[in-house]
Amino acid sequence: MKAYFQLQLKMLHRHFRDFGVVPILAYPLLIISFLGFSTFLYTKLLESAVFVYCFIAITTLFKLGEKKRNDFLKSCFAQKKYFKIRLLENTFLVLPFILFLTYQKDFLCAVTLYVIILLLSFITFNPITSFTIPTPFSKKPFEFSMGFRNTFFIYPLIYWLTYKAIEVNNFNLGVFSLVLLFVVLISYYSKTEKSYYVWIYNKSPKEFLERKMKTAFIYAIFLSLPISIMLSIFFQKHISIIIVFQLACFIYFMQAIVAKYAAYPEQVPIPTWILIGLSIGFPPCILFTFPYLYSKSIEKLNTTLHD
Amino acid sequence: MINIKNLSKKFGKNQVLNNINLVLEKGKVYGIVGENGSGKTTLFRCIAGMEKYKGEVEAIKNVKDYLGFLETESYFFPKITGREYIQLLCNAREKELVNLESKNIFNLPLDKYAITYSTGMKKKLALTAILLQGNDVFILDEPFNGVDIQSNIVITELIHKLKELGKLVLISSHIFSTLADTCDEIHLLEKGVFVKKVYKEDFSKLEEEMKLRTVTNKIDKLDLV
Repeated sequence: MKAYFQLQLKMLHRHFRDFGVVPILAYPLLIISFLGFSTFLYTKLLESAVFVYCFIAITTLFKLGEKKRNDFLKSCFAQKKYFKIRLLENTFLVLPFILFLTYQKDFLCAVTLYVIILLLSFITFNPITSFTIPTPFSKKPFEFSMGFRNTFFIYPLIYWLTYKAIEVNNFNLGVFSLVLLFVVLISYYSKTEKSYYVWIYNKSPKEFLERKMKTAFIYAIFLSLPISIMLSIFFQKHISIIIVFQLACFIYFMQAIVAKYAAYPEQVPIPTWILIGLSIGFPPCILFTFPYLYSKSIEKLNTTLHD
Repeated sequence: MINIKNLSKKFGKNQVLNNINLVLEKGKVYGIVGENGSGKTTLFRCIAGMEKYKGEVEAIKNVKDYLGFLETESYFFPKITGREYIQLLCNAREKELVNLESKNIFNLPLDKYAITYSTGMKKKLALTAILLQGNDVFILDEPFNGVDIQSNIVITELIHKLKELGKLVLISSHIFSTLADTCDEIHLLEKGVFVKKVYKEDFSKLEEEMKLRTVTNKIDKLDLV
């Protein structure tokens, strides 16, 4: 069992290195990001924070419970060891959440969350089922159709947050639901596709990117407009802020698409993430980061699309 | 027409293709045979422009824009249905997809996730998609692998039809009879070099020669009793 966890650690370090970060730097970065995100949630969402926080903690465990992965573990380890591994894995992953909940003095939630994750150690999920989840995005595969199937359960939460924001008259929560939607949409473009799926296009890199952005824009309008409209109706005095956030979300969404291809066919490297972070932290930077990432994407796509 | 001139490809220090010259004409079916690792797939990927190489691949237009490439093992996204896969490939070539049900000649369960298909079904799905793209050139890397006998017959007939329509088809296969049934000429690739070009009338001779050269000696080495 020790060898198994050592191997997992080795693999994790390989992921860090592939991502362009040495492990010694990755850990502090992860801790800072986690603390920043958790504090942000707690300060912005107030009383709803704990539900969202627990929901996020539980969803991070789904990957570990995948049937195929667990079948493999079962074939490698005796039953007792297998359950020990599952319990330990789940504990390691959710420990930061539990510690933060304890720090926030949400002791009941911390205990409940731990009980839930212990129970989840005995459950496996089969993400590939014979049941095909219907999607409204079938006409323009693949990012939205696939992404929707992977994250369909988050949509009720997002729209529920918008509803809750209106009910408890918490404008920040409403804006958070809009931002959360775009974070989910950006995740659809986070993984680099195999070169075959770019190669098939008979388009120039410019046309290719325009097409990708157009599809993303149309579908994002379809999903985000209900939130913006509802917020505009119920928080009329903040209408200008809603417009600014909606526009900003679209601009950052488009930048994320462009950034994905700026290192193509490699995964988005750390320097690009830093640029993206910079443009979020200091929005005027996007005037430079967007054109830079766009021209890099054209250059990189050219090797696959042979314009 | 595609004219391949002095094409060479290296992976690190490993010379995979060495000075390949080949003229491919439309309305003809070409077979490429060779052992595993002889460079067939790399050659196909170079022609398709999916690999960088030394030399030239001359064509009237940009080959990749009218080329249907059936890879040995097509990659499918985890949650994409067969229908969406075909839609994606047709969208990429701006080909309108009309009445897909009647064009589903392999009776594939199009509304199921492609990743749940069997090996043969995946191959048939990828083949259907590139056929519906309306390409002029086809590269079929092991099109008969893992496919049932009935579909084998259909694929053979499809290749005949493509030839009749004046398309250019390039195939690799480890099943010699399928090449003999479909090809106008077969090129033998060994260690990245074309060592032989054979026309239809000499296919049986080539098969015998290949059997002698590659199979007999190796089986003897096992000392089976």
